[in-house]
Amino acid sequence: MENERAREKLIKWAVKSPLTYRLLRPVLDLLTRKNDNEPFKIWVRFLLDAMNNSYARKQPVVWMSAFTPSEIAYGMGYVPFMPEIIASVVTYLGKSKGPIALANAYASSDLCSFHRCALGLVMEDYLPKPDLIISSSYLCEGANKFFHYLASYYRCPHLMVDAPYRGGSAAKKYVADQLKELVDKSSRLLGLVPDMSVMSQALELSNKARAYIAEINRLRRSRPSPFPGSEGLSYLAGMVFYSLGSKWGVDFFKTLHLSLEQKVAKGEGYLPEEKYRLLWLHHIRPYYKNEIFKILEEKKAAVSFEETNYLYWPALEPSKPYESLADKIISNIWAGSLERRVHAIEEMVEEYDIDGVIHFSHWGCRQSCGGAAVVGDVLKQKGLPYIVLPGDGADPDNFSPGQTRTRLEALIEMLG
Amino acid sequence: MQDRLTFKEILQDLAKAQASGEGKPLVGWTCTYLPVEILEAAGLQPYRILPEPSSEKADGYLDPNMCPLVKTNLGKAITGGYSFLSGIIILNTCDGMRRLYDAWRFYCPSPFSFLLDVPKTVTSLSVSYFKERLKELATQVEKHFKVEITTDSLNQAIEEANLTRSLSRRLISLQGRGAPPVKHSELLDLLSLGSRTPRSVFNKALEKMVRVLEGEPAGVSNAYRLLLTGSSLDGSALVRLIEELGGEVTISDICPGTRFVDYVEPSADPLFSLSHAYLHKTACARMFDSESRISALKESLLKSKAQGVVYFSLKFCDPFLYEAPFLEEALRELDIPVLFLEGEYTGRVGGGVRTRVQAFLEMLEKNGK
Amino acid sequence: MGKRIYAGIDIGSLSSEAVILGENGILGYSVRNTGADPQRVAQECMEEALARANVAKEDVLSIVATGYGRIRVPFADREITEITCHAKGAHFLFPETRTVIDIGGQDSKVITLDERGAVTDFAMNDRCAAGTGRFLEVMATALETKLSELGQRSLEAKKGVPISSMCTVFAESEVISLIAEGKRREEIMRGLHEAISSRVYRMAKKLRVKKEITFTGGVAKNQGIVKVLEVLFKMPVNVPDEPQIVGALGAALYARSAGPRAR
Repeated sequence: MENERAREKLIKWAVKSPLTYRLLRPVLDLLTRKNDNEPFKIWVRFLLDAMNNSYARKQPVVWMSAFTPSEIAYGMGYVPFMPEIIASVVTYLGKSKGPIALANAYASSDLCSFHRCALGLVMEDYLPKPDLIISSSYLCEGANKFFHYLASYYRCPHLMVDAPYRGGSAAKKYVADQLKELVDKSSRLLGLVPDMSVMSQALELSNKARAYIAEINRLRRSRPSPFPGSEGLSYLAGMVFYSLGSKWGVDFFKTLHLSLEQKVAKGEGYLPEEKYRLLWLHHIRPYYKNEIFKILEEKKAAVSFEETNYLYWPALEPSKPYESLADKIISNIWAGSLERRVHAIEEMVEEYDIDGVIHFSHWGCRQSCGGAAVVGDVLKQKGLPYIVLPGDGADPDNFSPGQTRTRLEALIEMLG
Repeated sequence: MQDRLTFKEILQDLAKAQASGEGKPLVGWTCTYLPVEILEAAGLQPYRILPEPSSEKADGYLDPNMCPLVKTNLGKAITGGYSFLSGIIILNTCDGMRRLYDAWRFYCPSPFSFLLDVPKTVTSLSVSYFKERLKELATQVEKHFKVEITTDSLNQAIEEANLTRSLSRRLISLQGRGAPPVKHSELLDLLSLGSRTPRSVFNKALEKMVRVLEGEPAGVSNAYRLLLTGSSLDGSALVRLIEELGGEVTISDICPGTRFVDYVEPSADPLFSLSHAYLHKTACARMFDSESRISALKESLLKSKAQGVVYFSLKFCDPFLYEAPFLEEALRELDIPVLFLEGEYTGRVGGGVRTRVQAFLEMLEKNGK
Repeated sequence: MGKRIYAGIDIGSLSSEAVILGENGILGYSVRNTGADPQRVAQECMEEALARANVAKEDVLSIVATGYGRIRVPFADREITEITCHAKGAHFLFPETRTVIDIGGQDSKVITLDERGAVTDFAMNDRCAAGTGRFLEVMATALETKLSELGQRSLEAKKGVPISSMCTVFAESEVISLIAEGKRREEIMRGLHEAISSRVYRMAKKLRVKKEITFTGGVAKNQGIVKVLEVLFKMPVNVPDEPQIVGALGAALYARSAGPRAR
């Protein structure tokens, strides 16, 4: 018993020590020297660097919700920390069950398991304390309230960008004004003077990454599919959320672009044999160990693209940070009305030559899953086989392997 | 005492008036952040969309983990239960309501549908932004229904609605008077009905009740005093159960019912007045700032001398479920016990809820509160 | 070797079935409880069906496995989901079938199919056992009656007692308290059947049900549910003589259409 407590204490100390991440880097570099997945290695290094900075606290640590433009944090010289992304990494490492169980004592088990996992980690004091929290009112109700609760837990200020339902000049002004207010308020709260040249630089870095993302997405139209959807839903999406506005982002997307260019030139697919091309809807997949992608591989079905990697925002204007980040926020296809998302999905079906569609239904999610039936009916009218795949992104106990297999196989059987 | 009407008769009269709608086109709406004055100024009859819990649930059209109120709304719409409406206005209250708006338009389009964007913050920026959205709503209504909305007609609608609001608050404060004494469950039923009845008819009924009740002495009640708060209720069954078991809801912050605006200032810019007042009303958990809702609740608790809190949330209602731990902490500081209940919009209270409410009241008794 | 014999095996959560199919139809079949060892029951089921069909194992040209345990049938040549198999089996028995309602031990499904018996869309309950065979088993125990008698007895009631929760755990305690309140058991049974049927009905409505409907799976043996479904859908519902073996039959049909396995 006492041993166990000592062990736990030691682990916590290691997790919270920036040194751990600095030491881990050469160790992992050595261990993965034979692994030629360069983009993945950059993701790992990026995460280690982010953790090092978050625990070292040399700059203010600002917690952010996914979909809040990370350019703001990099442009202000803050260290962004994204608990939702960290929860998915913790799930990937097979450690989500404990924190979720802990959080369930406080929060309904019908709420998003990524939030519950992060809450459990907060309660166990594993995470770097925030100096400030910045979130956005989209995509979901849950994130907004979750981050507000965390702010009260840590007794730190919380600023939110309220995104309008639809665009237009009043909407753009509303968001741009809020962003300006956010920059002013946050620098006052943290005692920093904002340097707008750093902000412009962050926007430029984000634009560079964006240009590679556009190319990556174009290359992913190739047959056979050069990049696995399961990874598109994990570290690729993670970098889109977390790294835009930093040099890491440019480096990652540039490297991924290069590797896909080579694969496409050689006609190399990620599956040994590709018979069907699928599109994955929803931003997440189950990150704990599961057989979804193995089953699909057995059936020669490639997940050729995921809606979460759809490039929805126009290039930013570095000289007009508030206006152009407002444009980015307003053009988010998952906020606002469903039409915009449906049109984008129809476009993806065309561009990626899709044979069938899987809409993952994450138990605690209302915003995406609430539209699953309408999206499905639009696609079915076009004769496209479509299934909703119920499951849970972070909670392995809320996942039925048997049912999942049946649904996936039935989809493939419908493809003929 | 020929003025004395039983509660039942008043409800029946209102129900009759509701069915007629005074011949005006009925426009459905979903959330208390809608300034209904805009519709009334346009000569339309606002009709709050509150599906009977017995209506079909739209399973299959929405994921199983969606709010049961949203599912019931959509189910009723798909089965033709709202075909009498000339239009619908849905607010972007929450994820559920946004998806309701999408599915409604896709599966059973209404002649007029509008989504009113409501900011989540209360700042000078959001007040002027919301005013723009109200202007957009007014313009769309004018165009579709071929009517004109003027400053005068808006101010007149505001004045009439102010009368409803002040009478409603007065009536709520008279709970416990009359013979038999007026109960909170009856007030909630009345306010629900009022949200779809022509204003003039409802105001008359309220005036009459207030007049009669104010003339009667307050009754003495030994019931346990409770504050009820939370998401949308599925009718008054839960409040009736509390009353049956020896409790009394003395004050509530709940939908549909008491979460309405108190007063709107008529002005030369009535849309601004509406935007300002509606954003500043008692907050729903969908708003960013939980603290203002909680401090308002604390104030009501002290004012009503409530001994306990019942916190009700529909299943899968993210705003209220995420806010639950906040509220529990705040109440712990005040040493007020809280009973958390979840519901599925069935309009019935099962045996489990009965046991929990009863045990909660027994606990209050033991605590000597 | 003039015999052209194929087999299908359906390993469900509660029961397992095997069907031996010749050129002119079913030669024999077997139904067993799945129990804790799906591999063994697959073996036993197969042997029993073969014995009843009077066919030697070596004469079976190919075997298709289906049902949730389909991946645990070592002697199968291929596995196909029960969704595709139920559609095929129902289409074979009632060629005009365009909708299949399959309520088994753990799942309920609604499947739409085309005139060839191929699946066009399907819906499936998720996660919980609400409204499935397992659910009825628990309720039968709470009502102190046999599962097989539930249907017939419910028909004696003129109306059903409304059941508010479809969660197996909550519904069980609700049933117990309804008995305590003195409600007639037949009316509670009918209420349960109405609740299950309307759940399936809502799932089916979304898929735009077309004529004819065939009801398969173990729960189709319950006359009470068949009756309520017919009222809800406003049309007659086909019920096979042995609704439990439709999945295994579909599997055998797929085995037959694919031809003999490569040796």
